[in-house]
Amino acid sequence: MISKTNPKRSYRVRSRADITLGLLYLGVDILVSVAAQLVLKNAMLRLGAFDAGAGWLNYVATMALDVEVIGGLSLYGSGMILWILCLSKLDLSLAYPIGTLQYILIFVGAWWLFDEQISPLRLTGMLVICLGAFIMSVDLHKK
Amino acid sequence: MNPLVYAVASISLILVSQILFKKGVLYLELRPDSSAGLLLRLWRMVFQKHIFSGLSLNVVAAGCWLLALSHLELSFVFPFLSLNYILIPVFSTILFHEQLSNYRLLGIGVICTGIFLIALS
Repeated sequence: MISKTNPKRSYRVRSRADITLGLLYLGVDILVSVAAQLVLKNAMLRLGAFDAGAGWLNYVATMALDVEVIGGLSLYGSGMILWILCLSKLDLSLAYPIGTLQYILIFVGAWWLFDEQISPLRLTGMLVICLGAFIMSVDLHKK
Repeated sequence: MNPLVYAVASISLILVSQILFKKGVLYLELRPDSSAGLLLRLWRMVFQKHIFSGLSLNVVAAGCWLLALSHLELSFVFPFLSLNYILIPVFSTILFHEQLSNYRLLGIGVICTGIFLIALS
């Protein structure tokens, strides 16, 4: 594959203020995104498993009007905006590996709040995914 | 029906929306209008046809994600979101001729292994 990247523009030098602000956005993004997933999971536990048969429209309507679902989705949307803000200040090579903290926090939250059983296999899978994200970020700044 | 279908649907829709966002941004870059104010530029961005379609797909994706959450444990289904770490670079290579370095290929392989382990758990 031929690279179209101009070598002079292959990566930007970030100022210290940019990095600090970017890390702040990223930290808040991680917390907000994890909170979003936990709130949404809590809401869906209350609403019960979706059945694609009769009454599906009723279920979707109840879901769309649920206060907790709306709150969770708002957090989810705020997370996306914070992620975009973060990427305008930080390189992906820094944002990706730090972002894997989300997986760890989700696991802790699901175990603590919902009593999910985290098997050694599942924990290993999560850590392997984080490792993969670290490897991918090694030369991501040379996009 | 395996409830993982809802999660896969959500992840695929997010993938398509990301591709549409990229297409939309490239489209706008060809027609710069720096004279317009920030709000007007934001408005044009949101209502650019590709970006608008991408945003709409994201709403559907969120709905599918909720249906997946209603069946599956969060610690099981959440790691599947990392499929997009794999799919987005692969599709960027195919559609936008972006480069896929050896590190990225290796990372993609490792993430695949992790997702496989989660699927088994």
